[in-house]
Amino acid sequence: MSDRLRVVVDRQECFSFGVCVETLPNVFVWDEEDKPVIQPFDSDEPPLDRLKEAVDGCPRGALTLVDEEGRTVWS
Amino acid sequence: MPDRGVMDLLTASARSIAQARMTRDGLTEFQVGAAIYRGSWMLDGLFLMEAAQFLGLEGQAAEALEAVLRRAADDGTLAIIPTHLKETAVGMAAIIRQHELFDGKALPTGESEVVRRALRRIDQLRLQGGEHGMPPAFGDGGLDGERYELTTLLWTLAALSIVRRSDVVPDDLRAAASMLAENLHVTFRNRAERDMQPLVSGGAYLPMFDPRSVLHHRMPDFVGEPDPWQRVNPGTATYALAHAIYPGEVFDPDDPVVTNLCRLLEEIDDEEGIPGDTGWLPYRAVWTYAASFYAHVWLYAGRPDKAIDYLYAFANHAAPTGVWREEQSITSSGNRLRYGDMPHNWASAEFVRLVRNLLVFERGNELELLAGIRPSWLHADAEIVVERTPTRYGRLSLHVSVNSQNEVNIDLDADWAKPPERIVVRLPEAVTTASVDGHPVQLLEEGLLLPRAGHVRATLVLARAQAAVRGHAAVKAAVRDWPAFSSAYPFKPDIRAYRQYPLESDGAAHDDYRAILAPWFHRRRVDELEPRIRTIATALVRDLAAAGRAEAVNDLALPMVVRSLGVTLGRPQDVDEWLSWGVEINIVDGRRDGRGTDAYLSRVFEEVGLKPGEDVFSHIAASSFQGRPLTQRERFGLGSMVLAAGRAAVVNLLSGAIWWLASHPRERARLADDPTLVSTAIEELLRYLSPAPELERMVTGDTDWFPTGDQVAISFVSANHDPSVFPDPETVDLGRRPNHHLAFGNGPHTCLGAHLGKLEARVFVEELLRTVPRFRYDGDAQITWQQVTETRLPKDFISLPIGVGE
Repeated sequence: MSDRLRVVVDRQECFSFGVCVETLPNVFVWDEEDKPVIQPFDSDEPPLDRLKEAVDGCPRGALTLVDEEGRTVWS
Repeated sequence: MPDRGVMDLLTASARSIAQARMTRDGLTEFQVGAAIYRGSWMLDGLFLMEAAQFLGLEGQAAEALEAVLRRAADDGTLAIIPTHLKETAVGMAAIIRQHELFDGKALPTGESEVVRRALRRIDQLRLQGGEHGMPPAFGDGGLDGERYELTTLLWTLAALSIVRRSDVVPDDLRAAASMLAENLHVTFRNRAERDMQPLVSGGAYLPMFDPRSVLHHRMPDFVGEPDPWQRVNPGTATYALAHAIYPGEVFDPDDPVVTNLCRLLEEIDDEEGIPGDTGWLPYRAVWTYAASFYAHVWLYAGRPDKAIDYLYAFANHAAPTGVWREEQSITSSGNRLRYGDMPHNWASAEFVRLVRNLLVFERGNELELLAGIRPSWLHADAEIVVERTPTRYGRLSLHVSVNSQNEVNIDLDADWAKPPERIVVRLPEAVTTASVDGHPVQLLEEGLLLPRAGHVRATLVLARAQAAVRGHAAVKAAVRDWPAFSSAYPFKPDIRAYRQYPLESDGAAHDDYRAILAPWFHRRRVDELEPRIRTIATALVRDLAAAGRAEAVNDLALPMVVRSLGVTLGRPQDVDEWLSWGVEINIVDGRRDGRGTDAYLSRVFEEVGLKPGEDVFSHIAASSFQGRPLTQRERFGLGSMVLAAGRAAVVNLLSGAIWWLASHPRERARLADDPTLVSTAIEELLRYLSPAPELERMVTGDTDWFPTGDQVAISFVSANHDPSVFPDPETVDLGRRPNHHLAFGNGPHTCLGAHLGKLEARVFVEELLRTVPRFRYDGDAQITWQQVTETRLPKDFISLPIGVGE
């Protein structure tokens, strides 16, 4: 299922707190502005609960998990 | 008054009383009403004159008293209406009370003589009354007819009690009153024992007329059960019983006469908050200002909470113009009956009396202060001011102010004629500590005892569990719902005349203020500062190793934080000055004081205005906000933020880390062996210690939890100890993952300095454990504590002596 999920970063809200990078360093990687960019990920890796954990952990609420049609799955 | 509604009604009441005066037959008196009661009655007059005194209208009260005195007949009677037999006693009490309030000096000879003759007249009435105490008299207040009723006896007892205890009365008259009172008191007790009636619900009540003597005059031919319109109710005419309790003080507060009346009142005050069916309208009605009579009973009986409830019920029965009808049907009855005038000026007098007595209450030889206030009146910035109010002990002024730290400051300035035996401050809330004239004092069970001096200052700290949002999910939801839980409010007006930005702002304005400071605390910039910050830590730790001991708060944590800020903010030249301010920059000699910060900001902004540098203040001065230059207040707000934030909280974090590691040698060794653990260890200490435990929000919209206008605390510490998110939250697990604590807050206001704070803590702990892997407590630590659910956590570290080695 998670092969069809994406993470959207609100770059305005993000202030590089780093919870997402610490939670899933293979998915969230700092870019040149110290904002996370999302690496492509495949089915079941990472597990959905780890993605949700990264989204929950963002103190600014800057991350949203969306499905193929752009509908919010977790925020 | 902190409640504007109460203040407005006080003003309206003063106006009514001032307008109530009318000169007839050369006598200027307070008229009770405009139509039905266009005239003056002894009892109404006593209270109207007292209210006039409380309002500072001494001259008008003196004229009204003159009118009372001119009623004195040769036989000692002081009456306006001859069948109102109690009027002689009431008039006598009025003369004495007025002189107590004028200056507390002895009665002039002429007035002593009026009292002497009145006492003689009362003695004659006593002999005529026999076993009833008083002869048949007009049954005022809902009894009607001329009968053996109790209101006359009760008011006579009240007046005699006032005579016998008063310092303005000559000793021989006090002795005479005392004998009369004791005699009549026995008669009253006998009658009460004989006449007491059971209440259907249990308990007993004392009817105000002899239940055997005659039927109610309204139902002379009625056979069988009287219908409710013709019934004398248990509460009918108990105004006189209330007056005998206060101001008469005829009975002790725990006397069954008092407790029985209180029990009755509890039964009949539910529907509109004022005891019902106590006056002329017999069925489903309230006598509006009788609320004040009964409120005084509650105050005297030690239940000021009921007294203040009655004040509000009384206030809620005022017409929009701030005046009262004497009696009216309760709304839900649909009867829509009215009785008496509107305005009924005695009601206005009662409002004034009740408010005054809730604040300043004369009881026996004591003075009770602030017993009858609402806890909600004691909000931050609330003020209660009583100016030169007369009492039987002399005049006093009371100035009460509350600050945002829940400290109630009381300034009592008195001009004693004869000071009371005790002055007790009795607040409606639990108090943790108190001081008088700067010295800590013990609190008694009944309150704070003040010295009987002319000028006294006292401070009481309320043990207030502030309304707070608690728990991880609730805290997160509240801070993200920033329109409902607003930060855009000056939360600390006692120490600064401007808001801190971006802390005390919301929405787009917040984002713009935050954007001004954000580059200074950005992750990348802070990472670049790491080598310089590490140099600071290395030097401090080297000093510790060399000295073998240190006081961790002021010798290690504070300089670590302040020097790191000096580097970060580009003001290393100011570090020594910043250090001299101590941990809390707005606390000077134990008092909250923002003047030092303001003086510094004023100087530094002037300096950078003339010669801009590379520091944060130059940056703030050059910044704009929504296309315009910043105002001076905004500059101060941003400047104050960078000075104060990330100072005390980080000092607490570092001190707390040292405190915890000193007493957990195994965990300390684990960290020293594996420095890669330090980052997660710092996160865990942040969670556990929560060095910024809470922040204020103003409730601006309807929420499920709090009413609009409430100031609530967002309890980050409670979120960080929420067992539903953190398994075993009271255990410090240095490797805890995940660890989504809210120590830096959450949502739009998430701590801007989080990266810097974490870096300082990590670097400091790394350097400490590298150079001094073993350390211990070395002397008594001074720590203030906070209770979080069942756990006691350190709140502020005052001092923490440590020594090198195990």
